[in-house]
Amino acid sequence: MFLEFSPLEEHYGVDEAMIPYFGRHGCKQHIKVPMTQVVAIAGEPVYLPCDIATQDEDDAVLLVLWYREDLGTPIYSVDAREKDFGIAERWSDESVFASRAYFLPERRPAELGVDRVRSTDQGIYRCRVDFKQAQTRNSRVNLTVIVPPNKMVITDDKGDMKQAIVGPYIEGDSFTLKCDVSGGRPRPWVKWYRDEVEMDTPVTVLSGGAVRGVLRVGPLTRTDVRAAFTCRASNHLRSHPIETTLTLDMNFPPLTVHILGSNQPLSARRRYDLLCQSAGSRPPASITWWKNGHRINNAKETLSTDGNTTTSTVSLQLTKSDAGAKLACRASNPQMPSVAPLEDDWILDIQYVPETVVRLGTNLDPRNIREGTDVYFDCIIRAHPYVYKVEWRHNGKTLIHNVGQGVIISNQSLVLQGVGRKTAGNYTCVGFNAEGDGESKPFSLDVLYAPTCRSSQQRVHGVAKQERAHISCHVDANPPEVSNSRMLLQFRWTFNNTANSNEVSDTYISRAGTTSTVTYTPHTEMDYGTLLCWAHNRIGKQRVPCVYHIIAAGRPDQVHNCSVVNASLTSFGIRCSEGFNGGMPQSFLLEVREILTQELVANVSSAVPRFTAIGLIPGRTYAAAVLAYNAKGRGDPYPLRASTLRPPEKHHVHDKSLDLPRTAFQMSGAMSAAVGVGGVIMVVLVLFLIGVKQKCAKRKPRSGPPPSSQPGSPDKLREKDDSESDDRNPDIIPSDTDHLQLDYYRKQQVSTISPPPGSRMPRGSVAGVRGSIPAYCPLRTAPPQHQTMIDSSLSQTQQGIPPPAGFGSGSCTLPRGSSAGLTAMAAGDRCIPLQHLRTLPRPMATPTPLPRHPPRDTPL
Amino acid sequence: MDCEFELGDDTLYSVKWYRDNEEFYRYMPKYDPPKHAYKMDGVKVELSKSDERRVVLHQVTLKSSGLYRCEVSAEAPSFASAAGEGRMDVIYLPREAPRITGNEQENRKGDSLFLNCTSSRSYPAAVLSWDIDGEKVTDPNLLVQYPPIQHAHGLVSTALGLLVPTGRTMQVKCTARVAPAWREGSEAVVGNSQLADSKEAMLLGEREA
Repeated sequence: MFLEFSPLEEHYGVDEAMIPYFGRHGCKQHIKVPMTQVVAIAGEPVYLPCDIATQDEDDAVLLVLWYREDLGTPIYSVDAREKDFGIAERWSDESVFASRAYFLPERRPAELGVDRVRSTDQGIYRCRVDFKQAQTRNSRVNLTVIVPPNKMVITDDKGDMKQAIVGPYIEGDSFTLKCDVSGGRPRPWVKWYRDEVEMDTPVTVLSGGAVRGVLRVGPLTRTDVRAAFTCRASNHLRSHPIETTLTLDMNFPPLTVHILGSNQPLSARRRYDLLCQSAGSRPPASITWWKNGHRINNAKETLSTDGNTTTSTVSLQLTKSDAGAKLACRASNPQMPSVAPLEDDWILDIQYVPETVVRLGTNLDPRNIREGTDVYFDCIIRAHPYVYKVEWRHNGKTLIHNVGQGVIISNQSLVLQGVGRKTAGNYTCVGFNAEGDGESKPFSLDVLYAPTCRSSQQRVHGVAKQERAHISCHVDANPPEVSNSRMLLQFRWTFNNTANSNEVSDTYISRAGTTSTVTYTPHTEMDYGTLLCWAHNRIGKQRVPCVYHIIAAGRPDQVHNCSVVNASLTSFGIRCSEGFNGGMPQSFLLEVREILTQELVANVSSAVPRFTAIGLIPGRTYAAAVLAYNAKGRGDPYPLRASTLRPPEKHHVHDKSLDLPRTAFQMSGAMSAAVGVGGVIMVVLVLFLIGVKQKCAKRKPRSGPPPSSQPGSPDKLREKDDSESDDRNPDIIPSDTDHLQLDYYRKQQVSTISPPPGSRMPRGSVAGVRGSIPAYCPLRTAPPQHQTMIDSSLSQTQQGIPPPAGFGSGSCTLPRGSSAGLTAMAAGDRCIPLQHLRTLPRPMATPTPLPRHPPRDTPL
Repeated sequence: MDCEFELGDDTLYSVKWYRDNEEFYRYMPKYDPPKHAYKMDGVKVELSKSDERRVVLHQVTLKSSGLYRCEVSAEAPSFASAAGEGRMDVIYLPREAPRITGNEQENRKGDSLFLNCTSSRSYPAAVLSWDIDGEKVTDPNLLVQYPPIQHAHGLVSTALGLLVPTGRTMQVKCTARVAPAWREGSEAVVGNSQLADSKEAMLLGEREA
């Protein structure tokens, strides 16, 4: 075999070997076999040059042989000895290039292409070209196969492998990163880059052949965060380096923390959303709120888009007690628990609505302030900012400094001189500042006083003989009677008539609060008179008694001042003023009749003398009558004419025809009142009263009601009565109805004397009695035959409407008194018979005739 | 030069001879004629005496020196190849003995005698040395070196001077040596004020490929 003749590698690889032994001095040099350096990246194709060009045109390539120098046998051949070169026989050693190799003769120089070159392909190759004529040509290729490094491992100081992130570190830290690269031929270089800037990288070769590049970083500052450290390793410019990039993660404590808008005064009234911002922490700061060291929990955090700023919002409603408190906002990095949190403080300045308290003067006993005392108050104020104004209020109404009225306001004090019962009530003081008005709780000033008679109570009681009446005395007193102690409010009653004055026995007196009630039954004429009532409490005795007139009860008086209001096509309204109720509750009745036929077309009752008649015929005039009634019977009707509106085309005036009969009627009414008084007793009484006071007799018994029945006169007070009938269809009214109407009114007349209009006390008539007490002229009445003294029948008759009192029917008339007469009675004149009061509870079988003189044997 | 090989079961494709990697002779049995020589400077193949295992050069010159290599390749498909090589050098020995020249009178009058020894032309250059009374002079203070003298065809001659102490009669000898590993140079003996010629011999050292 040829193996022992293997070529000597030294002669090919080392050029010095080509020099002949005497080369330095010799005259010729050996011709080297040319060698081309080729570098290939593993896995890529490589092309090995081999010049096969011929020198002469008639020469030709016979054979191309490729040798690898460590092998004696060719690894690739192109045999063109018997074929054209293009189709020449090609052969490739299966153990070397196999199918990866292909000869490219058309290239200049021709090349042997090798695909997917392997690291084992590295070596020196020789190409031998045999020509038909020319000398054999040998050339060599030194193929270097670059194998890129295949593995990179980065470890930190702790030996932990790092792949994308290194850290987190904190400011001031230093650290090293080791980048170990294994694999690769030739040995790769390893370099560290920071943000693509090459860093000084000491390199050592490890025992296993790996190459280690070390990077030293630090001391770190905030600006180093997110720095990108790249370890890059390669062994040839043409091969892609392998690399790993690590991003530096760092933790920072917060740099700043601020409560936004701090150190401003806050209002206690309002809810505030307070903001605290912290910047510079990484990861983002966590913010907590504290008030005087106590954690506030309802904060909400938001993070800015760049993640640098944390904003915490806390919603606070602060109170006055928070003034001076330390509100703190603390920012900390949750990843750095050992770093003290950053804090911003705010000493709270709380402004609030003034808080005020009314305090009574210290030497005053609030439970024992009597009328006439001087009282003073202080307004105790807590306010921030301090008040600019202080105001005092009495029952909600602002008090004004008025020395004349005894109201003295100075600074924060209120002085009330000579307090009265009207001075009592709730006192408040109000402090004003920028936060608002602070009104104190009310101080209830209680002013004590002796009893006085309460105004607006029933002063006149119409009572029939044998009728049991309950006369109530209402007083104002402070303290009012509330308990059964010795300080009881006590009442005393006396009965006065013309003859004498008697104390009322306690057995007839009952008491409820500040009201005392006497049960009273007149039996004789002498039992009509005046009841006086005194009360006293611990403050004192009532100075002026309450006065109640007991008069004989009767029918109510005629209403007056009637007028037609709100006439329409089918309705009209009527309003009247009520007259004396006869001493008992009264109701009112309206009757509307056809003038011609006297047919009743409407019948309406009401508690007040206001009516509306509906369902009438347009343009017609009706005869209306208004009357009052009570349990004693009916009062006299008040007749008037009322018309519905006429349709526009038929409208004409009836006023004249209406005015005339009314005037006549009123005159007639007056006359009949003057002459209609009948009965012996009545006459006696009248004469008696005339004798006592001339004024009573002189007084006109009635003032005529003003005619105001014009149709369509406006009146806002319109009342409807459901009971009035609207299904009537009155006939056409005759053109001349004056005579008939006059007749009607005449029939309705009774001999009633009306009290003064409005029952008001005339001016200048006060003499010893305070308050508005109606006064009456002399009266006479006879109880109606059907009247009973039984309570149940009384209530029954109150419900129904008594029959109209007919002319000359003998029905009773009410007692009449003028103001002058009343004044006289109150002054002590006896003009009413004394009743034997002890016999009051006993029911009388028959009415006792009125004695002419008061009995002397009254056992009171 | 012979190139010995064994083909085994293979048949011979070619035997190629290179001097310094340049082909000068090939033997390819399938071609007609199977022997072919390329003309090269210093290499003249005697085709009639050359065959598949031997190449014969005639009229070798100094230019014939070089690395000779034979490469034997088997026929397709393996084209298995083997090669062997060896170096051949051609030398030119001096035609004359080194010649000693000097000044007698100066030697008598002064206290020393100065002699020059010059070699004849050779390749490679001759190396000169002096002996005094049979002892080689190594004291560099007594020897004077001269640059070699170039002659045509690459031949070189050299010279070496000697300071001879006076006072007595000495036998001096100048020896020229060429390719000392393979040959002995002849020497020229110089008696007191007399010069004697010396003879030379030539040997060719060769190593077989």
